[in-house]
Parts: sequence; C-alpha cells; structure tokens
Amino acid sequence: MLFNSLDFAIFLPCVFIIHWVIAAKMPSLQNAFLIISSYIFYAFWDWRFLALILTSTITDFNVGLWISKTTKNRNKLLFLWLSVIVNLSILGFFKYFDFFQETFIQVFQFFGNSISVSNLNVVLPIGISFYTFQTLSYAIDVYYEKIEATDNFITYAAFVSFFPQLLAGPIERAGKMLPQFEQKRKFDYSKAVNGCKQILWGLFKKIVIADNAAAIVNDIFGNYSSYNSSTLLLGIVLYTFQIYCDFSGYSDIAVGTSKLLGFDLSQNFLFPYFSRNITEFWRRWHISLTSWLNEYVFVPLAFTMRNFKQWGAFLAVLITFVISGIWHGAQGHFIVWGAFWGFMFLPIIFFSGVQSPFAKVYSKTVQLNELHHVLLTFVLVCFAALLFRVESTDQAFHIVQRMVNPKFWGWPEVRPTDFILLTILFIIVEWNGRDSAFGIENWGKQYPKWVKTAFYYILIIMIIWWGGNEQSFIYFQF
Amino acid sequence: MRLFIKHLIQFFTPICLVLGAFLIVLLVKYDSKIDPYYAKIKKVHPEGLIIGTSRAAQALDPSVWGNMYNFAFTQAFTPFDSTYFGLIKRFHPIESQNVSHVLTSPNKNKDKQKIHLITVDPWSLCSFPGDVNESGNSSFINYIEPSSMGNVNLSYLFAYMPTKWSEVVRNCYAPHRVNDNGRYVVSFNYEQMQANFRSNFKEKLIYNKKKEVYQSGYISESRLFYLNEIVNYLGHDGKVVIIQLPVHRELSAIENKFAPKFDSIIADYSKKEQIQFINLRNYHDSFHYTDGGHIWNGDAQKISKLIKHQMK
Repeated sequence: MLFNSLDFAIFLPCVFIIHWVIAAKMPSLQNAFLIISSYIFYAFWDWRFLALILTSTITDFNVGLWISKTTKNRNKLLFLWLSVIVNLSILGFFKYFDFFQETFIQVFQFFGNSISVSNLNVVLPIGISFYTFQTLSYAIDVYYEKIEATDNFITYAAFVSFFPQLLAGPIERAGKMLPQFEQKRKFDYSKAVNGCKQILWGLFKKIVIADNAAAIVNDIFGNYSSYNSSTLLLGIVLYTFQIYCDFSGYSDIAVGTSKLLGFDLSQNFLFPYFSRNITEFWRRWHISLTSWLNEYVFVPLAFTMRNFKQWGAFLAVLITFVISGIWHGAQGHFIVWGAFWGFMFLPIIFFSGVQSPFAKVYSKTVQLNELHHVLLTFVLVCFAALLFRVESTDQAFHIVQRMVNPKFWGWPEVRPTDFILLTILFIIVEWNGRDSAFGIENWGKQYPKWVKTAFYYILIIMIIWWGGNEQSFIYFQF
Repeated sequence: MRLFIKHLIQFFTPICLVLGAFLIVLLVKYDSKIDPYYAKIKKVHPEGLIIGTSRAAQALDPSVWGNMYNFAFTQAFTPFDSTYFGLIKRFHPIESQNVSHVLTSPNKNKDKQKIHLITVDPWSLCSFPGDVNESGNSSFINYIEPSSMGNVNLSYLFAYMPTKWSEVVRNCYAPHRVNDNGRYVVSFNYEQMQANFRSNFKEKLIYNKKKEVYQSGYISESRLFYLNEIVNYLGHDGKVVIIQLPVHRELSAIENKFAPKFDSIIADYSKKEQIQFINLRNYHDSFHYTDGGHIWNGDAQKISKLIKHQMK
C-alpha cells in the first residue's frame, strides 16, 4: 500500500479510529491491533513475504531472550551470531542472489567455461533492508546490554512491523521504540495536528515535486545520448530534488502518521541541501541509516584501526560508505557512489581532523551569507546523485563525457519553466522552515488563522491538481 | 480526540464539497472534452469512413465527400491491429449478406458510391520488439461497449482519463473538439499555428528521431495483415482508397530513413489489391503544420479537396 494512494487514505482513518477508540483501553490490545494493521498494510503489496517479517521477528525476539537469560559470554556471542546469520542470509538471498549468480556465471565464462544456471529472478521484498537492520540492531543492543530484552512478543512484533516505517524507515532502535509500545498511549491534540501537517508536507514533496520531477528526469536519463550538456545538467539537478522529495516526503508521512498514533519516530532528514559541507550533509541526510552505520559499522571499524590514526579513520569512513553503497544494491555504480563519498572525506579527515561524518547534527542554523558553501556542497551532492541514478558506471561516464564535450553545449532542450518555478517556491518554504523539524511545521505562526488555513488548502489543491498517478517511492527498491 | 476529529471534519468539509461539485460539473458537462477521441464513439450511420491516426483525424474533412465520418484516432490508440479492426466492425457493421457474398467472390463490391479512406504512415505500420500494440491490446477501445457509445461513460473516464487532474482540466479548456462528422479540430488561427509550430516542431523531430533509433523500423507483418483485413472488410461496402498524407520536409526525411521501402510496399500492396494509393508525401510545402506532423486546421479543406480531386 502506498502512502500516496486512495487505499491508504481509507486505511489510515480506519486504523486511527480503531486505535484510539476501541483499542485505547489496553496497550497490549492497541499493539495487537497495530500488528494486524501493519500486516494488512504489507499484504497489500505481497502477503507471501509476511513470512519473512515473521521469521525475522521470531528469531530476534528469541535471540534477545536467550542472550539475556544466559550467563556465559560464549553462548551470548553464539546467539548473536545466530541473529546475524539469519538476518543477513535473508537479506543476502533476496537482495544479492541475482548479483552473485550473474557474477558466478561471468567468472566461469571468463575462464572459457560456459555454465547454464536457471535464473531465479528473486523478487526483492519491500522494506527488507529496513526491518532486517532494525531487528539486527535489537539483538546487538541486547548483547552489548544497551537495552534489556523484552519478554512481550506482541510488543516486539508491533515494533518490528510498525507500518508507518516498515517499508522505507526511518530505521528505528528498539531502545527508543520499545518503551513507546510498552507504555499506555495518550492522545495528544497538538502532536496529532503536527502529524497532519507533516503528512501534508510529505505528500506535497512526493506528489508535487518528486513525481513531476520524475517524468522529466526519466525522459532525460532514458535518452541521455539525445540531449545536450545543459539538458543533462538539468536532469541531474532535478533528480537531486526528486530523490530528496521522494524519500524525505516518505519519511515525513511516516513520522506524521506515527504522531497521529501517538508515537515519536526519528527525524530522517533535516534540510540536507542547506548543508555547508559534506560532513554536515551526512548528518542531515537519511539520518537513521547513517547513525545505524556509525554505531554498528564505523565506530567498531575506527576502534579496530585506531593505531593507524588518520589513515585508520579514513579507511573506516571509506569502508562504511562502500557498505552503505552495497546496502542500496549490488550494482557497481552504488559501490562507486559509496567510494566517492568516502574519498570526499579524505581531505576533511587529514586537514580538519573530523573523525566521523555520522555524529550529531549541526546546531547552528545556516545563514544567507553562507550560501556559497551551501551551493558548493550541493554541486558535490549533484555529482553523487548522478552516480546514484544511473544504471551503470558506464552510463555515468558517458553522461559526464557528453557534458564536458563542447560539441554538446547549448541551451536546455527541455524547459519545464512551471516546474522550476514551483521548485524555487518549495526551496523558499524549506529555507524559511529550516529551524523546524519539517518545512511547514511553524509556517505562518505570525499570521491570522485564516491565512494558515488558506495555505493548507492551497497545498491540498496542489496535491490533487498534480496528483492522480500513484507512483512508487524510490527507496522501496532498496 | 473528539475535538481533533471535529476540527478535522470542519477542515475537510469545505474542500470535499468544492471538489465534489467540481468533479460532477467536470464529468457531466465536459466528458467529451476530457478525452476528445472518446467523443468519436457515437451512434451515427455514415456511408463511408476515414481510418487512420491523428494525422487523418485532424486533416481530413468528411464534409468534402458528403456523408462520411472521420473514424481516425491516434497512433497510440489505434495502430492497425485486431482491436481497431474490431471497433470498425462494431461501429460500421456491414450487412452479413454483403460480406458472405464477397467472401465467396474475389470481386469486391465497388459499384456502390460509398467511399472509405484509409491513411497510412510508417509509424502506424511499423513495429518494434516488445511492442504491446502488436498483439492488439489497445485497451482504450476494448473498454468501450457498443451500448455505451455516445453516452456519458463515467467508468471509462475514470479508468482512462489522463493520469493527472491538471491534465483533465487542461483538456476541458484546450482549443480542441470533435465535430459531428468525427473530425478532430484543433482550432488554431494562423498566428497560433505558427507559434505552436515553433514551440513543438523541434520536440517532434527529437521524438521521431528517438523512434527511428529505438524501433529499428520494420514493416510489421501483423499490422499489414490487419490493414489488409480492414481493406477487405470495407471493400465489401464500397470503394477503398489508401492515402499517405504529407508531413513537414524534415519529418518526411526521418520517415524515409526509418522505413525507406514503405512507399513501394504500400504501392505494391495497392496494385495487388487493385485499390488506389494516393501518395502525397512530396506535397510537403503545400500545407502548414501545427507541429510538423499534423496539417493545420486551416488547410484541412484544401488537402481533402486535393485528395477528392486525385481520386479516380
């Protein structure tokens, strides 16, 4: 079920009312209802893959209990490895099987042997990368005694399958979420209103900006050999906005929906395109994944390689980013994308002494006189977006080659003037709201109520005006 | 929570009412404009048909021939396939006596005064690997039942109207309409036509060049088969003439490169079937085009009269 679908527009009010009216008396009843709702939500895509969620849930719930009950460190480690193996096997099979099979065949062919293997064409279950990381972190956190294992299966299953963040995050930690599932939830009017605003802004970003950009971007990238350099540049810039609005729009809807149900999810994006350098960018972009990678990959790696000082830190950053690339998919361009970001940190680590790109978010708000830093960072982000969007590294190479070749210089052949104006308006609204959790959280506080209401109506009309064609979210493929 | 729900209802009620009213007005008043081609499917009983793509839909004025009906759609909807052929049979049923008589006799019924014009172009007769239209899956037409011809068909409109509401509204106010005789009129004056040409011609060229690359054009056996089926079917009812309409010189060059043998294939086919083929490919400069591929509304009478004049 897509957030931007009619199905969800019916599903959410039903869940909301039952959650607060019928099931409100007991948290366990609310949690049981949330599990059912989440499974129905997921079954709209493919009910067969519910078995995977259930397997992951049962495994890590039991692993958590076994780790907490056993006193022997060796057994604790064994149980942790069990969780790691089960989760990564599921993830590895569904996400990387085809890649390994193709590589295997290519290697055989390279040595002159032909090999015939029937292609399984494994379907990637939506959300698998997200909920596997979530359950894995639970087992790791229990092992390191950061949290206590829960003995309530309903609570744990509700946490793993919680529908707002099931398909594309934010990747939540049990330490933050389990207490929210365990306690009795109270309806909070202002939180619910805030959630509605965030859903509205998320839908606007997805339907109005991302989906409209997608039509132009798909055309330009699909026919890149027909377009001149400025058109390709336009395609890259629009894709940079598309992916931000698509993914942060999803996250906004997820966070907003959770607020309606009385939960607080982590903020996944904090205006990353207003970052003054790439360190800040990575503290504002896909925060839940980068903080997960920081805690479970970068910190252990940096600690292991601490004797190599700056080179150790650089290697840890590089490996972390390459793993991040592989997490997105087993294609060469994702690995190059990860390596690109790793190498971008080389001068920062050696000259500025910054040890981790994944630490806390900058507290100071970006100002207008820092715009040149913001633009420079944006240029790097655009280049990385190109590596992310292409279907192969060859394609990225051809696009760059075409862009720098004076033979192909000229005015853009595609001129979506209306859409560019709309994007500029969107940037202005985001800029004005950059101190908030999302663009319109505090919009119009100084204005009378009717102005704010009119503003929300305009947003709804724009969503309806540009809507109608349900398009999937980019991050569902990861 | 009650307060929250109350405020939510208060907030959404006005917008639901306005949108609901807007939707009703839109669908009831403008249903034929939301998808102008849909408006073509109505209960009329013409003597002859004009068959083809949007080029014919815009260029050929049935009034020049009398009681004719322009039954050409767009290339996306109606390549020569089983679906279009099926629709033609449903729209213009020919008495079974005629059909059975002709089926047993190689001589077609050419004595009648009825005329059917079939326009062809390389794009509508060529195919490419994986072309979904090859097997005749034009769902637009499959969806229309004879009983709903000419009526407001909300289910159709919901299923097949443009993907965005903005496009639905834009269509309602676009300068196009379908005449009673089926001709699709894009009512540009001379200046508007020139402006439209300037803004769309390059796009059209790029679009067709892409097709040239991707389709690695070959004349589709399946499309030729259905062209033949349509020719035979309408041939039972009257005289059939095949026409190739002119396009802008640059587009014509692309088409020629794409399917160099197209003209000769059609000429040979016409000769074999003993039907007239009027090839106007070289009349590039005699007409104005709205985008290079479609003849301007102001020239519709002119080209229709030219064809009538050339008909034997």
